[in-house]
Amino acid sequence: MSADDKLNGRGALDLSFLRGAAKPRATGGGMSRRNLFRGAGAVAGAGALASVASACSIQGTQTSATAADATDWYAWWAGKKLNGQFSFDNWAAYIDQDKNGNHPSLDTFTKKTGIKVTYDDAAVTDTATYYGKIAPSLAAGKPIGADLFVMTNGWEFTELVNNGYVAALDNKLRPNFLRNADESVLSPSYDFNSTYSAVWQSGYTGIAYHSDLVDGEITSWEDLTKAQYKNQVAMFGSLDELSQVGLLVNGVTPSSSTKSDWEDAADWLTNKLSPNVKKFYDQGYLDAFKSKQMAITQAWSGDILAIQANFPKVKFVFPEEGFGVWHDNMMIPVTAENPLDAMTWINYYYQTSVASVIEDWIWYKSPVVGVREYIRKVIDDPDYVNSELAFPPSDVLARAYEYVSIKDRTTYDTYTSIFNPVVQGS
Amino acid sequence: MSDQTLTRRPTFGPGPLHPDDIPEVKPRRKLGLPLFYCGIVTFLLIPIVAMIVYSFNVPTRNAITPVWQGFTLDAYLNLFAVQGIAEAFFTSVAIAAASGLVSVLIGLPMALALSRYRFRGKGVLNSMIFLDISAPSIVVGSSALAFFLSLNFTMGWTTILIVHVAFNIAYVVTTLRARLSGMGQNLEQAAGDLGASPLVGFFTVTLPLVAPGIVAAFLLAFAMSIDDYVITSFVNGSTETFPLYAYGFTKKGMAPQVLCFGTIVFVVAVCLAFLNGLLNRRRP
Amino acid sequence: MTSATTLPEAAPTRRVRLEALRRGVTPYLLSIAGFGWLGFFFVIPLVSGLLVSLMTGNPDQGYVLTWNWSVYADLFTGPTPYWLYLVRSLTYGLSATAFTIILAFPVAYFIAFRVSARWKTTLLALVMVTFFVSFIIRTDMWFYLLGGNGPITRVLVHLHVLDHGQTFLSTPGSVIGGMVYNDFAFMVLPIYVAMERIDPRLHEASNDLFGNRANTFFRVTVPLTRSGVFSGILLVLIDTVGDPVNSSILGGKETYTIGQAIQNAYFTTQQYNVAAALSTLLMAILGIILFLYARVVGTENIEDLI
Repeated sequence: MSADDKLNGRGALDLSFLRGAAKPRATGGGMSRRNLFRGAGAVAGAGALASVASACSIQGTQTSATAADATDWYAWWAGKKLNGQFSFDNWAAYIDQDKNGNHPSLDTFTKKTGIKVTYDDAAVTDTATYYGKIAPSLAAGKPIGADLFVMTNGWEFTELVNNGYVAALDNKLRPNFLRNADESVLSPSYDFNSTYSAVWQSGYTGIAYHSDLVDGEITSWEDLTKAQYKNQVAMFGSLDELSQVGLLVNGVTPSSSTKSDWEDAADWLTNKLSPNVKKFYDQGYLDAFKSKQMAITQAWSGDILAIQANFPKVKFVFPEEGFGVWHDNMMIPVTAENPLDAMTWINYYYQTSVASVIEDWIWYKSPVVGVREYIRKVIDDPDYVNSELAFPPSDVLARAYEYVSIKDRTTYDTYTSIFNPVVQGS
Repeated sequence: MSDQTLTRRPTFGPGPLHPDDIPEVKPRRKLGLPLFYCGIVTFLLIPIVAMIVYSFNVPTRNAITPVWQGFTLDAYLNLFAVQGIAEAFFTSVAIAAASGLVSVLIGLPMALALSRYRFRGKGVLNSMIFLDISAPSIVVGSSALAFFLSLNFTMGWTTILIVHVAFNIAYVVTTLRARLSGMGQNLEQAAGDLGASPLVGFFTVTLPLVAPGIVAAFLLAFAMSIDDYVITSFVNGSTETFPLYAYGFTKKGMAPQVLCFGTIVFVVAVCLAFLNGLLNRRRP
Repeated sequence: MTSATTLPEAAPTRRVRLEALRRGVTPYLLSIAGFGWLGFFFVIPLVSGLLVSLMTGNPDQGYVLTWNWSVYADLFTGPTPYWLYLVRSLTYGLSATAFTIILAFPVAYFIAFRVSARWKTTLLALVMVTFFVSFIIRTDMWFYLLGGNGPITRVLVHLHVLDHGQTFLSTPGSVIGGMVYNDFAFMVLPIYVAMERIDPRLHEASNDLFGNRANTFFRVTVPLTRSGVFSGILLVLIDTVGDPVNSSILGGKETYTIGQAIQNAYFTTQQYNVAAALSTLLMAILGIILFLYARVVGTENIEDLI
């Protein structure tokens, strides 16, 4: 091809604005528009037929619940063997950790029992997402990769139990739990007799703020709506955490609230609070708060207690209207491959000396009795023992409330349809 | 019509630019674009530099901080202290390699068909490939999830591989088709004229010629697969790949070990690319 | 470019009939695996996405196909403003694409025309080098760099560009910026490839014909690069419109996108039908854009992408 030919060829193409359409197509790779649509049509048609034939529905998960009800759990547990290992899905920074990221408590457990623990602290970042991830496997009766996971009380907890996804725990296998569990967690409101769970930690949801970035003092949820805090507030995207704020501000007890209470609460959240909110977070709030993304945030007590050493100007508030108290629970899926090993860990954890070592790192509220004394006397960590964040005085504790309690899907759908728009924003 | 339009119109005449034009144009072309390029490359490299620097920064509670707290090698010395990181990494590598291999095995014949033959239904194949390349990840991923849910299929390694192959085929076919179209068939025909069967012709003539294209297609598929977050997040079940694993950390504070893995992969990849460049340069 | 003379059709008369039959069957045999895989694991899922969107139910009782078309109307009239997320995603995608073109064109131009041949690969590699790091990590690094006590913010506060306590994060700007950053190379590459194909003699010719630099640029370079730009637009727009990652890591309350909404509907509220409807709607809208694209540009330019 000479230079002239090339020029002419390209020049001719240039004349047409719709160059691509006018261009003679390379026979190898080209295709006509007619073909495109005929082809797409044919493929879509065939695809539609095949799909209709193969799948007109998505199987529900409720069927497995009846099977679970009929299970003889004593026999179930009797049939399990120790396998020398189990895997444990937990929230981040929720077990003791040395500076290299190793977990001494788990290592000690392995040394004493010979059971190796695969601990995944990247697993849970918020309950709804974690539940969404494990539910399909559980519905299919397949292992989820974890033999033990930590789930907050709330709708997903109820779903796990309702759907028969979790094993009832045999008390014979957890004598330490019966002996050492704190009164408050032996039979919590969301799980009668702790049949399906054992509390890992409890904690409080309040307000934290950088006092050097905020003018004035914050004492209540109502304070967050002040015009001066525009775009400086972060809240949790978790509906349970969020809804209780709207409800408490309106003077409603979350656990006995009704649909109209929810609507009023959502109304307050959308119209009063939301204009000041910069972002709704899940667990990432702490990182963002530490890097001063926002001056004020809804926060979990233990997180703030833990960072106060590095951020002395950070304050935590138990709001005047009331605040949330929650419980994270260890649960064993029915499809677990190493349930007995996981159970061994639960029983092991409910010893004061073990729970204290873990507690002295995570600084929430341990479900095991005697932890405070043990840390005071044996570990000698006055920072934690004397902290009002970890151990609020009784007049403060009187303002602590449990989450909204939902027992069935229809109610839950109503609940999410009211509060989800708040989080997704506009 | 103004004079200006007239002067723009091509006319016959002596070629070079007017000498006066040159001095004022040249300096700008010498400085402006290079500076702009450097600015852009800086912009592109900033997060990578940050990754490398923060992997050596002393963390707080095993999460990195943007404030420099001192130099440490702890994270590198305890690379596997964060549970699941090695598993996630090797899962990613395995899936990327497997999906690259499968998509080349499936894509090469398809590319041959599309570049060498005329047949009914070619339009269908071409539109499928076009659609596959241009469908957004979020749609590919969520549709695959809807599909597997409908079939009551348990998500995991298998579903990730299936979907990765599905999106990689289009890239592989496109790469190889371009290569094959550019090659012509004279050599294959010559082989045929000399009595070689088409199969022998393919393995002795076409395959060696298209081999670099196959390597490129495989590497592309590998790269697309190993860095995919969006599609994988829909079909992973309880299997965790490296991007998903890293994404988990964006929600709760990045562990320095994740950055160490990123840094090591980056350094290895850069070295390999450098070696490759060196070898190519030596070749005549 | 393939020229017609190399195609087998040129010589059918010489072939025997058996050979013709063999050739007739071969392409189907060659492409059956790919066709099957794409059909079964790409096309059918798209259709089943549509079908799931027309189901009703919940994850407990299961979902049944009831041809509930009203789910699509609900996307626009329900309490959650999905239409807003859709419009927002399209706006972000279009803005990111526009910025990417503006930034990528000079870079590609510089590498293609202003650099000696031996440096081209290196300079191009510097643009591509970002692909060696997981994009999740890169995006998260921006989160730290732009955070309240991140180095970039501290410098800008020091220079009084930002007020104390102010950051770029959680704004549409940071989300679009993240998209531009992550997809930059997708735009540079096709434009560069298109520029490389321009015969340098065209520039000389333009000069010879008294075209000044601007003339040459707008009348020769830009038109001949159009196919590359179109390919880049396709890649970047498609990728950014559905992206949930940038808006979730770098965004805030007012940057919620359709990608996040789809993820949320699948995994958090478990409304599979709503999620599938959102995804199908997004595909339909992009389908229209793709159709117009195919009409104007054709589809074989896809090869420029790689």
